[in-house]
Amino acid sequence: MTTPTDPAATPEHDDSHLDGHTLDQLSDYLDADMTPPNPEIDSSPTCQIALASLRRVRAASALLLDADAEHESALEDGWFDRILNAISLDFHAGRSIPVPNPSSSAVITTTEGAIRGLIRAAGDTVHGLLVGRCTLDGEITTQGAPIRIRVDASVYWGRPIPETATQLQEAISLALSTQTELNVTAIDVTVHDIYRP
Amino acid sequence: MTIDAAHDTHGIADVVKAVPGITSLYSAHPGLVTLASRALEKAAATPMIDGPIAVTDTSIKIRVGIDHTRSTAEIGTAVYRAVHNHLNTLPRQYDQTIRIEIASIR
Repeated sequence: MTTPTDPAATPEHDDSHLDGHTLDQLSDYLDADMTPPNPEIDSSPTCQIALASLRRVRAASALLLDADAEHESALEDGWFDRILNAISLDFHAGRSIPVPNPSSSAVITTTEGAIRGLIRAAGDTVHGLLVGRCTLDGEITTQGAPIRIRVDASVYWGRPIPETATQLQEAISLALSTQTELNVTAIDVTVHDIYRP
Repeated sequence: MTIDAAHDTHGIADVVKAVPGITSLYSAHPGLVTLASRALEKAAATPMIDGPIAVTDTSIKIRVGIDHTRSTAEIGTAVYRAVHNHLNTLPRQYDQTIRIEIASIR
């Protein structure tokens, strides 16, 4: 099991981390159904990735709370904050990953943040888990360099861990091979939490 | 006035948005997304802070979000070709590098 992250050391307290916004502000924006529209948030890919993660965590927590509402306070106090603190480290755009293209007068790149968003979206297709931190290890700024993906995941009580982890590996592998040209050599999945409502 | 890439940023933006698979066209001006409107007006004194496309003497920068229909290479190349073809219709030839950043996939 993980230990709670020091709140003072997490990026949610760094306004520059989310293009000048905090996780609380984005959470409020989501609560208001994103109305009235905020052009700064709507035009920021970092904020959009963060909003997608917030929606994901909320959906997962709602699922768990539905399973047993009487455990609400315990779940909210620990699980929700830990997951948010972990994934908030991944919102930034990060390094630029070269994308092959046929022209010498064009440079096409994908941000590391976009790839992490893709990995999380792949995790959404696997029942019974939530992807936490994910990192891309390797010289990703060099085209074709071998890359190792490391993913932390939380699995819900009752789900077979090996099978669920394998499904996550397969989902990530399929998403990356279909949508990117990354040379992925390994996908390491670490299940660090099991949640029982 | 000679129409070139720097004077046709909205035309480039329209071309990019029309490429299948594009979900968002983000500002390619670093840091400007968080500036208040007054600061934006001040920044507009710098050439080409008009719309999301950033044009300098050496580059034409474009930041996009894409969907899951095609690969990053396919959509990125489609954006390049669309912009390249559009720029070739302008009276003044462009010689900048077209830089396309895929900032989100969803």
